[in-house]
Amino acid sequence: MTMANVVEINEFRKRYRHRDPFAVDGVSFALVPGQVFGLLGPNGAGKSTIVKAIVGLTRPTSGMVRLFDSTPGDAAARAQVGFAPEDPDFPKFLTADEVMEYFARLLGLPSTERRRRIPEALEWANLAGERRQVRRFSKGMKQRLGLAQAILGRPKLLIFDEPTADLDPVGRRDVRNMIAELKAQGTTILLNSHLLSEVELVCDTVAIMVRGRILKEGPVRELVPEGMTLEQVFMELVASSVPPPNLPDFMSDPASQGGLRN
Amino acid sequence: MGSGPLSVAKFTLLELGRRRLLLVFVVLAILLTAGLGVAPFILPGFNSGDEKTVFILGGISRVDGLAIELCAFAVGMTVINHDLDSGAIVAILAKPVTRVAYALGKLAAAVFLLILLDAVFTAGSILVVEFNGGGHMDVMFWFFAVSAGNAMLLMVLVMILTVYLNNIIAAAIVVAFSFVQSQVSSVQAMVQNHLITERILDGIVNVVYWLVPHPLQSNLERDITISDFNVICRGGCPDLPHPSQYLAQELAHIPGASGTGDIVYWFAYLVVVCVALYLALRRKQV
Repeated sequence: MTMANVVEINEFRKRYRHRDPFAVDGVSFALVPGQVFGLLGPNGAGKSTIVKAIVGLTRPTSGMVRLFDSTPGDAAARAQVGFAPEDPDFPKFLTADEVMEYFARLLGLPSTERRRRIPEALEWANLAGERRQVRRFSKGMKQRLGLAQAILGRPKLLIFDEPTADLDPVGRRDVRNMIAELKAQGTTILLNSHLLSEVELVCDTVAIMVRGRILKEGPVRELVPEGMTLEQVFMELVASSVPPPNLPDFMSDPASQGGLRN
Repeated sequence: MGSGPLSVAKFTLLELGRRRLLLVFVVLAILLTAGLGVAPFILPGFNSGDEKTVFILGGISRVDGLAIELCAFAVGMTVINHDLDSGAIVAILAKPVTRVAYALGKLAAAVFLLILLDAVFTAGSILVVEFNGGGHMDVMFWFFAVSAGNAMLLMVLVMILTVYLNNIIAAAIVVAFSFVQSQVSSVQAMVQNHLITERILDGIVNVVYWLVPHPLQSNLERDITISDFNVICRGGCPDLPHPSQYLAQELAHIPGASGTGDIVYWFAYLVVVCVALYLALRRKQV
């Protein structure tokens, strides 16, 4: 393994139960410092499983996952990672302030840093002064809190799993700007997203996954031919592996139009 | 404890403190205990100290015994399950906190809260007994200590099961287990008091008693039975040809206070279930 790699994944395979197919089937890639890596794929491609393995939430069935030249189970390695999970949630009886305080303590931040970083991060997330408990938050508010807690430890590696899924256009712009700024600072970023136009804007390298396997991986400028977009490349690749489903028969049957009572 | 477990414990306690269901159990127990203290003054039929004792101690053993168990179940059912159910555990365990620190923090918060609630119920009950003439302080103290110890074990068992099961199913399994525990203790009391004399059965019961973790016992129930007997036989017991034999027989069904061996066994059992909780959390993939 190269010492410089932030993450190295080698022949990673994962299945949750013996009778299930592999959610991830022999995936290998590496993240070097400062790289912005996009992991793309349709639902169920295995992207979130890979991300969870990197932060030690799930174990490989076989293969290897290394994080900062250690294992994901190593708390010291995880201290250098910021993770904004897909569809994030937090202890529901705490306020945003308390969640940030809780996580800042888990990160081992001293009180002076906590007092400085928490208000700034909440201000960025547009949650400053929010006194309601997390259980009263909308999905968008939780997503913004998820992003705020991810950057709290000023990590060397930031993992965003569908960071803009529940955000409005303004929120999406803010996330895009944040990723661009962090990229300029040299932070390594792993981005899972369905929004391919955004991925194309911010990522240096992408890997396109379908059904647990990487179909294509490389620098964006090499993967996307002149005159095409990443979305077109993605659709060409994915369409051949995932044929579009037919509309259910009853939807085109004139006899079954309307409710049963009609 | 390092800062990880302390942080987990602190914010878990903050969350538990905001749970309305727990608050309802505590308020109800306090109100009912206070009611037990006032009832002898406003209800007719309390002519002697023994009558008051039977009423108040009997009430306390039922109300506060049940309240502490309900609180233990309420805490056990939610303390880890809420993090798992909501998905909050993903964000927590992605932070540099080890699974052992997380388990220790959750255990510390749950145990601390249970002991605190037990102390509140003990203080309230002592006040109620003092208000009605005092006495029975040592047996009351041991009753609450034993209740907290037993409830703690049930709570940790529920916590373990909630790592893999729905919390209501987990609680139902532990309720069934608790019932088996109490039955084993009652049968063993009958063996100890020579109500069961069959040698093979005697041996089997003793083996089962030490195999199935059994609850700790105080002498409160025996004290209540003795006071009850004194009330019934205050002016003699014409219906009972051998009153003292009758009392001995009644007491033979009630397990006596736990000895050192039982306490050591309880502690070992507590250590085993705490380790089992850690192992369940360590294996858990979220």
